[in-house]
Amino acid sequence: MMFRCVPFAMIVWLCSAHAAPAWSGVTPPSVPDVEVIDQDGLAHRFYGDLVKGNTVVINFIYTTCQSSCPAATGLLSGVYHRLRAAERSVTLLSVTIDPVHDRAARLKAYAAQFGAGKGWYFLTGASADVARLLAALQVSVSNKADHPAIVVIGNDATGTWTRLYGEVSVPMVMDSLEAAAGWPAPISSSVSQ
Amino acid sequence: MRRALRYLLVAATGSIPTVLFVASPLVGAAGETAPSLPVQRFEQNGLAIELTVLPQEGSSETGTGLTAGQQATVKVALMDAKSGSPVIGIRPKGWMTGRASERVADEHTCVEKIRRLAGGRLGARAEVDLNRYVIVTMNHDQTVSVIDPQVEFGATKLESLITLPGNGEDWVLSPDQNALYVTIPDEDAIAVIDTRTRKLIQTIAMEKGSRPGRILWQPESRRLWVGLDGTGQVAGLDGAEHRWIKSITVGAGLHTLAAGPDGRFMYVTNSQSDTVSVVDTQSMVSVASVPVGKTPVAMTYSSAARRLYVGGVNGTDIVAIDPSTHRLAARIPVASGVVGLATEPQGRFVFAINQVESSLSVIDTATNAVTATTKVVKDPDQVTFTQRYAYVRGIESEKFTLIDLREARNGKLAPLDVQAGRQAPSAAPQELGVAPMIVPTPEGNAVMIANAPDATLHYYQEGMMAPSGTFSNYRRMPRGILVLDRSLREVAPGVYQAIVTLPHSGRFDVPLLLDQPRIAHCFQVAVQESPLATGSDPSPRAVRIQARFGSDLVSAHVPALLSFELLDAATQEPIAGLQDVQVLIFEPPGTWQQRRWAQEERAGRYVITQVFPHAGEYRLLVQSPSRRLRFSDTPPVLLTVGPPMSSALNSQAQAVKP
Amino acid sequence: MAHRCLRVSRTCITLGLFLMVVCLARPSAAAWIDPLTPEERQGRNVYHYGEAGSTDHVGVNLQGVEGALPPTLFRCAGCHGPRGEGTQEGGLRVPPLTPSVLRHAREGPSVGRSRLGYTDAALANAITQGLDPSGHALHPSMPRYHLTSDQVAKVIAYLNRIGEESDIDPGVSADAVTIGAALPLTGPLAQIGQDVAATLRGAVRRLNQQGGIYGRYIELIVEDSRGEPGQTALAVSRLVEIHQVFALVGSFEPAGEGRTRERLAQSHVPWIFPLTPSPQLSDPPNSSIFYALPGFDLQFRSLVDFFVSRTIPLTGTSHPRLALVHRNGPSNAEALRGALEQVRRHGLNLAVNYEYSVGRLAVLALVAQLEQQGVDAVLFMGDGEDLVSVAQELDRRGMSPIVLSAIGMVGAQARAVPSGLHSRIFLAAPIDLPTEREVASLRALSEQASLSSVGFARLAQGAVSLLAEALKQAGRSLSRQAVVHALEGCREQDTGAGFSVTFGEHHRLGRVASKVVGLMPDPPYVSPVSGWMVPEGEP
Repeated sequence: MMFRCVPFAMIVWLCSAHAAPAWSGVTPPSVPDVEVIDQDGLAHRFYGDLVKGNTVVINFIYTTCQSSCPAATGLLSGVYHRLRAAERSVTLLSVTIDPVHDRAARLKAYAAQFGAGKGWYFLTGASADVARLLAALQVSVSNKADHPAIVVIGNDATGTWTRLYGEVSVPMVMDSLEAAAGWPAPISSSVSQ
Repeated sequence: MRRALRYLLVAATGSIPTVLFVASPLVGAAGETAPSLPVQRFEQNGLAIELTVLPQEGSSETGTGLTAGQQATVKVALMDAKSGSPVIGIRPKGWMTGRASERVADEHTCVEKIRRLAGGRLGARAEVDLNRYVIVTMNHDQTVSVIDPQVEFGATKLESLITLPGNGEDWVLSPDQNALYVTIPDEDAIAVIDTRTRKLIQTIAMEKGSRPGRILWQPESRRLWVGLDGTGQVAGLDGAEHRWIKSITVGAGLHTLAAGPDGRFMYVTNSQSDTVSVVDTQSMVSVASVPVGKTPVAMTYSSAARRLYVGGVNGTDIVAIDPSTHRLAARIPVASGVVGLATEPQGRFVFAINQVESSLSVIDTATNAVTATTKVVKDPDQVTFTQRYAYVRGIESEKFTLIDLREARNGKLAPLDVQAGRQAPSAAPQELGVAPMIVPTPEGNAVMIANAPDATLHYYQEGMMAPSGTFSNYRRMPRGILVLDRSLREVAPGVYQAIVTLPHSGRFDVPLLLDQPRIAHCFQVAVQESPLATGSDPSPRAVRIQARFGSDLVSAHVPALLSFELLDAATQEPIAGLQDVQVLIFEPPGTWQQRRWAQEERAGRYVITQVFPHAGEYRLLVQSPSRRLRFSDTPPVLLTVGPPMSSALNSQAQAVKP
Repeated sequence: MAHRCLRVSRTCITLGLFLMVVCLARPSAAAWIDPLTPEERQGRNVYHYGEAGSTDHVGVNLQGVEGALPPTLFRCAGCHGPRGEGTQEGGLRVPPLTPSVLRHAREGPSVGRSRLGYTDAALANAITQGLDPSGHALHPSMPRYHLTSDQVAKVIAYLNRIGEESDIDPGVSADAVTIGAALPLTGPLAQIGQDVAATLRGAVRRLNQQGGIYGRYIELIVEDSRGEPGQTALAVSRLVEIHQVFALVGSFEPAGEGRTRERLAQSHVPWIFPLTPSPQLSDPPNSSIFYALPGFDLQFRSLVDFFVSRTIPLTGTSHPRLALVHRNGPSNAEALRGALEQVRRHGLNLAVNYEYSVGRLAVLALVAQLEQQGVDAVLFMGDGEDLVSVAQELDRRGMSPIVLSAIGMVGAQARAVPSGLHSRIFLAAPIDLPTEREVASLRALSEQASLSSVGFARLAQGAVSLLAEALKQAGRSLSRQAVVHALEGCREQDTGAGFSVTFGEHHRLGRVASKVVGLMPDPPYVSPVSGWMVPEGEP
C-alpha cells in the first residue's frame, strides 16, 4: 500500500517544495507553559494563555541594552502599528533575558516609550521560569550582551513556525506573518516604506 | 528506488535538506556520489548553513579540484534562510573525517559523530580539525617548523619544515596570518613565508651591514617596520607586495619598536643615542627625537593612560611620553636594569622587568607610581600575558614565574614559579634572542613554552602545577615560537574560513556544529587521488582494532604480552603483512607514554610486550603508515593495569588467548 | 557719635562688599575653556544624548515607523559607542564612526560591502535618509533622523572631532578635572558645611599630592548653599552651568526642587553621594546620581524585618500588637511608607496609628492609648526629644514595650531615655559607627580639631575616593559616561571611609541593608544586635 502511495507523495512533496519557497519546514518549538508576568504585573501561562491558538511574534530584549534592543523593539513597534492599522490579530511577545532586573514596572516604562498597547506583552517572571523559556526557544546565553537577534514567528493553530535571523526588517516580518497566518491578501504592499 | 524512498522518508522527518540535495540521488544511478556542486546548503529552523570547500590556487582543476595532500579553504557561511542576510555571533565548529564505509550517513549517525568529536579529549579524533591551531618555531639550524601539537596525546606531528637563508632573529605574522616575516640580520635580509603553502616566497634584501633586527606590523595598515641595527635606521616595508619602501634615519644602537594607537606614529628606541625617535607613518619621516634615560631598550604603550612608557638598561627611571606632544610627561624612578616593559591586557598597568635585580614591578599608569615589586626567576628578559596571568621567563632559570593579573592590579603580587624543561636558556647562549619564547594558545587559558637547550616545547594549562605536555622540537633548538590559528575564523560577517591540508583521497564527512541554536549536520566532500601518488598505495579503507587481551589480568612491573587484530572495517578480513605497525601506549593525560613496534604473530594478529610502571588506566593507539593508518584514526583501546602481584604468581600471570 | 558710626559703617560696607566680591570671585577659578566650538559641542550633545537642546525635538524613524520612538533611546552613542568606536552586542555589529573610517573608501567583503568615502553631504544623507555614499540602504536597524539641516551640520562637525583629545566633557582640561559641591558655608548648618568642605579639600589635596590622576589635578569648587533649599538649588545651578564642573561630590541636594533636578538630569553631570538622609530614587533612576546609604523607608523596613525575626524573644507572643507613632513632615513620610509596606508584607497587627505635628505631641494621651491597646512594640518616627519624653512616661507607668526607630532620626539624644528602657530600644543604622581611628584620620584629613558631623564627613571622604577610583578606571580619555560606567561596575567597592558600596546598570543606591543596634550605658553607647539586613522584598 505504502509502495503505491509513495510515488504520489513524492510528486506532491517535490511540487510543493518548488512552489512555496517561503521557508523550509521549521520544527515547532516545544513551548513550555511557564508562568510569566507582563508589564502590568499580571500573570499568564506562556503557552496556554498567550500562544495557544494564536499567531505570535516573539523577540528578546533587556532594558539596559544599549544598541540592539532599541532597534529590535523598534522593529516590533513597526510591525505592531501595521498590524493595528490592518486590524490583524497577532500577539506580540517581547521576553526579557534579564528577568532579575527587568521587573514589571521597568518593562512598563520601556514599553511605553514604543507606544506598546493591547496585544503586545513584555514578559518577565521568576528567573528559573524565564530561563526554561529561553532554553526551549534556543536563545539562552551566559552573557546578556551575546544574545542572538532573532525573531520567532509562529501560528500555533496550524503549527507553522519560522525564525528570522540577521538583518530583519518590517517587510520580512510581515511576509512571514502572512505565510504563517495564511491571510488572504498581502498587507505589506499597501503600506509605504 | 528503495534507497530513494529512504531518502525521502529521512528528508520528510526532522531537518529538511534542500531540493538540490534530495534530487541528486534520484538523478544519479547508485545515489552515493557526494554532491559535486561547489556550494552545499542546509537549512533548519530558519537558519541556513552554506559550506564551500575550494582548492588553493595552483591545485588541479579537474572535477571538484580537491586533491589529496593539497591545501584547501573551507568556508562556512551562516545566514537567514529566507533573506540570506548574514547571521553574526554564532561561531561554528567543524571537522573532516574520512568516511569509514560506503553507507550514506543519516542524521543519527552524524549527531553521534559530532557528539564524540565535540566531547571528551579521548574521544575519536577527526583527521582534520577545523578548530585547531598549529605551532611554528624558528630554529637554530636556520629552519622554521610547523608542528601540529595534538596535545591530548602528547604526540606532535611535524607538518612542514621551511629553510631560511640564515638565522632568524625576530618575526611577525600578517594580521590575516597568511604571511610570516622573519628578519635575518647575518644576511641583511627579511624572509617572507607563505603560511598556506608553507613555502619561502620572497627574500627582501636590505642594505649590506644593516642587520635587520626587530620587526613590527603597523596597526590598521598593510605596512611593516624593521629596525636596522647596523645602520641606525628603520625600514618601512609593504606587507601586500612584500617589498621595501623606504629607510628612515633614526638614532644609533639597537632598536625596539612600538606603535601608537591607530598606527599614525611608530616609535623606535635608539639604545646608543639614548633617544626615542618618532616616525610619522603617513609621510614616512622621523618627526621628533625625544631624549629619554640611558640605553633605552624597553617600550610599551598604555591605552588607558595614552602614554608611551620607555625604560633603559642603565637608566634610573622609566619615562612616559605624551604621543600628542612627543614630550616627556612623567618620570618614574626605578632601579637600573629595566630590559622589558609590557602593558597588561586591560591597558592600565605596566609591568617592568629588571634583569639586574631579577625583579618585576607593576606601575599604575593612573598615578605613575610603582604599586608593587617582587622577585621573579633569575635574569628575566621577557613577559607574556594571557587574560588572567603574566608569564615571566628568566635566562638563568629553567622555570618561569606566573603572576595572577587580578591580584597584581590590586597591588598584590604572589609569584609562582613553574618548571618548564630541564635546562635554563643560558645553557644555549647562542640561541638567546628577542623573539618571544612563551606564547598564549587560542584556548585562552594555556601557553606554549619553548626551551632551547632541551629542544622541547611545553604545554602549560593555567591552574596546573606543571606543564601537562612536553613535546620534542625534533632535535632543533627553538629561538622563537608562535601560534598559527587554523580554526574557523570570521572573514566577513557570518562567514567563517579555515585552511586545511587534505590528508588523503576518498570521501569525507564534514560535520558542523552550532551551539545556539543547536544545529548538527554532516556535509560531504570528495577528494581525489593526488597525481603524484604511487600506484601501489591502497585506498585508505578503515581499520578496526580488535584487542585480544581484554579479559586478561595485566599487572604492573611484569612484562605483559598484548595482542590485537587489525581488521578491514568493511569486510572484517584480517589485514596481514604489515611491517610497520607501531603501538603508542600512554597514561592519560599523556605524561607517561611509550611506543613499541608490533610483531606479526599470525595473519592479521600483532603483538607487543610492555611493562607498566604502576597500576592505572592506560590507552593504546595503533598506526601503520603503509596502511595509511594514523594514531588518531581509531578510538583508543582501553586497558586497566592492576597492582604488582607477588612473584610466586608471576609465571601464571600472562594468559594469552590462542 | 552716630555720625562717626555712619561713616565707619559706610567704609565697612564698602570694605565688606569688596571682600564679598573677592570671596565670591575666588572659588570660581579660571573658567573652563571648551576645546570644541559651540557647533561641535551641540553636535556632541546630539550624538551622546539624543537631545538637540531643551526645545528641539529629534524625530526618529525606524523601519518606516513614525513617531512613538524616543530619541534618547536611539542616541548615536548607544550603538556607535561613546568614542565612535563601534559596538557588537546582541547579534548586532555596529561600525565605527571615526573620521579615519568614515572618510575613506572601504572595500568589502570583510565588512559586508564596498562603499566610497563619506563626504559631508553623504553623511547628511546617511543620517536623514539611511543611504550610504554608494546609494545602498544602510542596515535596517539604523534609524533615520528628522533633524534640521542646521542640526545635521552640527552633528557632522562633531564627527570630525570624535575620539580626539578635544572630544571631552565640560570640566576636563589637559591638566585638570574640576569637581564641585554645594555646601552650607553660612547659615544654620554652617558648622556642618565647613566640616564637609574641609574634608573634601583634604581628600582632594591628598590625591593631588600623589600627582593627580593620569596627569590631571583635581580642582574643587565649593558654592555656598546657605542651608536653605532655594539657595541650594541656585548653588548647584551655578556649579553646573557657570563653573561647568565635570562632576559633583558630596554636595547637598536641592530637595523637591523639580526644575533644578530636571536640568541636572539633562546635563548628565555625575553626582557621587549627595548628602541627604532621603535618596530620591525613581524607577528607572536618574542615570548619573549615585547615592550611598539607604533612606528611612529601607531602614524601617529592615527594622520591621528584625522585629518579626525576634518576635517571641522580644515580646513573648507570636501575634504582637504594633503601634505607629509618627511626626508628620516630609522626612518621616518615607519612613512611614516603608514601615507600612513591611507591616503589610508580614501581616502584622497595627493596633495604634498616631500622628502628631511638631511640638504637639500629647505624651500622656499617647501612652495611655498604648497601654489601653496592649501594644507590644512601637515604631517611632520623630526626633530624639520626643522619643525621650515618651520613654519617660512609659517608664513612669511601668510599661516596657519594644521601641523601634532610626539613629538618623533620634540621634544621640536617645541615650537620655530612662535606663530601665535601654534594653527595649532598637535603632536602625545604615552604616557602621566610625571607629576611633577612623574619626582621628578624618580629623587629620580635614585638619579640623573636631568634626560636628562625622557622618557627612565620611560620606564626603568616600565620595572623593570613589571618584578617584572611577577616574582611574576611565583612563586618560575621560568622559562623564566613562565615569558613570565605572561607577556602575562597583561591586562591594571599599570607599575608604569605613563602608563599601555596590552599584549596577540601573542600580543607584550603594547600600540597601541596615543594621539594628541596641543601647548601652557606656561609650560607644550603641552595640549591634543584628547583621546587615536587606529588607524583605528587595531583589
